[in-house]
Amino acid sequence: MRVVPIKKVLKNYLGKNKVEKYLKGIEVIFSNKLTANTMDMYQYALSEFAEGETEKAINAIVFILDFDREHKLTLHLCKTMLFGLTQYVMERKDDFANLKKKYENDLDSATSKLKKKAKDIEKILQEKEKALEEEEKIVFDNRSNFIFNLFKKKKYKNNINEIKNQLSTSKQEYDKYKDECDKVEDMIQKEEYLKVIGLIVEICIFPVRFEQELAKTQWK
Amino acid sequence: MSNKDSNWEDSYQKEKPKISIKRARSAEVESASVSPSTVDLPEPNKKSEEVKEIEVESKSTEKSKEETLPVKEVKMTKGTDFPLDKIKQNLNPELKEVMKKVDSKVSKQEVASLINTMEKNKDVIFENTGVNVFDKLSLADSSTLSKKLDEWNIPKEASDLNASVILAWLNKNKK
Repeated sequence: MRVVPIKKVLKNYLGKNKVEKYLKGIEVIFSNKLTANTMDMYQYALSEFAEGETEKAINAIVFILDFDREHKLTLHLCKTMLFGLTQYVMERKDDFANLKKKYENDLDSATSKLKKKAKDIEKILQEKEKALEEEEKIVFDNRSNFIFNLFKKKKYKNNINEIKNQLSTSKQEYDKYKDECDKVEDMIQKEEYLKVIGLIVEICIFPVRFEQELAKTQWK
Repeated sequence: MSNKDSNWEDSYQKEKPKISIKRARSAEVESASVSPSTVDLPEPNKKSEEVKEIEVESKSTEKSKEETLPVKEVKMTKGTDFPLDKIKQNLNPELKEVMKKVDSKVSKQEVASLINTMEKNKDVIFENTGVNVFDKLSLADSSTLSKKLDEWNIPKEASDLNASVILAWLNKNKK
């Protein structure tokens, strides 16, 4: 019996665009060595996880299991990831459900809208910061000007306070959009990782099923 | 075997992947990359000391085939040469450093809780999380999956290592 390549199944299930990031060539740390070992690769996967480089870590997992389907350390790592992610998603189940409801399940478009909104506010923030700097510079440059201090300083001080208030409001608004955007992106990501790792586990446990599906695709 | 199956077998053989170390086009880039796309699939029951030959080739596709670099033999091997219950002391120096940071960020209780869930609350993975993970599985399949997951066990030290890394990863990405 042959081992069903996880790589091929992932391609079939996720589609070319989504799968690409998980299957990029592994930058092998041991490029100077003449031997590569599944243990090295496994340690590489752990390092990448710890660094938050999820796609690279999954890439290494796929590589190892396509080479050695019985690699216990990696199989256990998959199992741990599956349970860890499930727990993570379960703890946020209500938040995730609310976000999906709020954005009518169109999370990709929600993310781009939120990003655009945050970017627009960021632009406004930059303009306001620039205006504030200019006003403060005028007050500073004229600090020893008696006439300025007597007639204009108060007006400038009021302007500065107003800009500061506007800045604070815009910052709050920016944080709100940024936070929401991060939450939606996190949800999209974690759900995708959960699907991918679930699929990898399924392929390892029910290979025949996927072998048949691969065969059908090859026929089409 | 049906006609469909044999045809798939043929095309599978033709596309039989190979492990290859690829080098970047630029001459000054020394790092090599192993593409999982080209795994030479192992035959079952091969011994753990199985060694696979890897050839070095240019990173880009057809266009740069003429620029293929000189072939350098790299061997891919399976297995470990140390007991898994002493895995921590046998990690590579870089990972040891990473683990120091991980261990300072992840508590023992968190690790114990995750391992406990894996051992005693396995059905959590079949609960409705709002993501279609194992929705298509029948009850019998779910039971098989659960049993198989039980077989993927490793010594405590290695299991703690995996759990710490996964928890650190989840904490790192927490929003």
